[in-house]
Amino acid sequence: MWFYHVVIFILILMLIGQMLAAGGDAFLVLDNSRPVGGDREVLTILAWGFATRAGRSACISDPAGRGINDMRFSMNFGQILLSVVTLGIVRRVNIDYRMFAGNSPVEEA
Amino acid sequence: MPAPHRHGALRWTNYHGTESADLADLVELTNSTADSGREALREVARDVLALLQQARAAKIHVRPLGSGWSPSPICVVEGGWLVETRRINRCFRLDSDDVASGVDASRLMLVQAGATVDEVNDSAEEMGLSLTTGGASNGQTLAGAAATGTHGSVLSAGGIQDHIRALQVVTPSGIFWVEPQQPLMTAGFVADTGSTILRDDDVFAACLVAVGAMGFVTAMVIACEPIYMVRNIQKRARLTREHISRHAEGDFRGFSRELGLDEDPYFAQVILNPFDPFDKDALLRLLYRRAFDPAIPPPPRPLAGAGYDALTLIGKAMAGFDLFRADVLQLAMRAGYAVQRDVDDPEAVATWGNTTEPHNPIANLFNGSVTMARADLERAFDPLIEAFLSGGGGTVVTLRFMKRAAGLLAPARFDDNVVIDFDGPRSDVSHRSYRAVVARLDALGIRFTRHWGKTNDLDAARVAHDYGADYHRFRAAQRRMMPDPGDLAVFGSDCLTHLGLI
Repeated sequence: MWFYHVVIFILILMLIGQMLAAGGDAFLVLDNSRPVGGDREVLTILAWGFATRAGRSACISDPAGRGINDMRFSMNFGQILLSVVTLGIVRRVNIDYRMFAGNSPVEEA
Repeated sequence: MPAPHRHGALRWTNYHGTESADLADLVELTNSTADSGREALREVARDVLALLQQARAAKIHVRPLGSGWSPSPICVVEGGWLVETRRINRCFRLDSDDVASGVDASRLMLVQAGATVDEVNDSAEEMGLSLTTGGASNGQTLAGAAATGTHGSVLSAGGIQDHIRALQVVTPSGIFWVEPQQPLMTAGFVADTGSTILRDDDVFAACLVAVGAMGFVTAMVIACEPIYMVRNIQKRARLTREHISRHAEGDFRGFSRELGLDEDPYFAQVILNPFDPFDKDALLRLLYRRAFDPAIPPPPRPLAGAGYDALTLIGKAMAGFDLFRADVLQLAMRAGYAVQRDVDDPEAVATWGNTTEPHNPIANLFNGSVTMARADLERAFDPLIEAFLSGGGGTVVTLRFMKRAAGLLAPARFDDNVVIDFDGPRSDVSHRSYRAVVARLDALGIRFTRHWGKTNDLDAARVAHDYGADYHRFRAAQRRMMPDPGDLAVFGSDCLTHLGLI
């Protein structure tokens, strides 16, 4: 019986570890960062990625045409719980992004 | 030049995720691609003028928005227009023909209002120059940082606004070039920027720390110094009461001799664990001036350190649990200073611009601070820590030191200042703790001011009390800048009205 208790304990620890790890954010940024504006996209990944592509991709507009400066990927506690309760079938991820403002050399006044 | 991009009504959140507002419109200024700086300034200022006139006619409030860096709601305007300046971020060198006689143009730079401190640092280095001081981070626009009196801990300097020598300011009535009485730029240069000269010492001093209440700043002329480098000592160390006394006396050389190098530090910052300030490690940062050496490469980005969510999580956990708070905080502080640079380690030398921290989001935390005369630190230290903990405490307490800063509303208004930051989780506990600090300082009869860009609990009466005659000079300068009350009303917001600044 003690063997099963140990296994259950380890599994619970693994679950807690996974939940905490899912709460950590990842930040991707251009080397010489020049951020402007930006917004948050919340993507829903369905059926562990086997669902339609639209479920896990998003389009954003870039009127200035300079591209993205940085992105932060994160999940809040509610999203983590949702993922756990649905056995990972529904996974919601936040992507906070900002656009690139441009980088000019020093010019003459 | 493309017209400003209008995003329409939306809910806006600031950079660190601490404040938000429902906007009638988010307007993103676009930059001019004109070859000359003066032409670029003229084109952008005309766009801003048109927006302000449109807002005035529609009775809409307008707030300029830089990086949205301030944790407080200072740049928020509920139901109004936020006008984002980040794309107007070019920097220009000036020629001797552009400046008044006797002015050295080689140390001046023309900076558009949307340029971040990071961009200004890069441009200054391209010109063989450095800023004298700056804030802890470099993601704020220089205009926004100046408008809130942002500072670092350079012992011989004031705030970031001290670099400014002239400003281009737009109101619904026109485009103005604001300088002190002593001319800086030629009349021809100012006319080329499409501006009308306004030379007035008090208007200039009011515009330095304008808190967004003096019009819309679109460009500045800043003064730099020849490029230099700093050696960085960054370490954990145990503080004593004697160290606090030395700080109060201004004996930074003695402090440095004991914990750093035997020379005068250029910059000194102490981050304390308030739950046990003398028995837990503090984090020290000491910077020492060095001559510029082009052979030294820029430092690599730090690879380890706590991220936004982790720090936010620690803050929230500390708000919920009383047990082991000193130890939990100590662990977090160690994570924050993952890389140590002690006296015997290989020297870490970098230009000033490469020394400030990169601009990632910090954490969803509470930030409050008080600025007071450095000499008061010794008698205020214990009561302040006690008051902070009596409210429940927060996370770390940071000590920074600086000279009197320029600007009528500069919080650093004492000859020698200590700025004490009280950080914590974004909760009632932190706010209550900060209020306890403020109340204790009042009870001790110690004069102090508070940061415009952080949580400050200020109101109109308190602002008038703290800044005294300078507050009245600010309001008088504001009336000279915008004699028509309808112009001033355009820049109104709940926050500025509450502070008595509009």
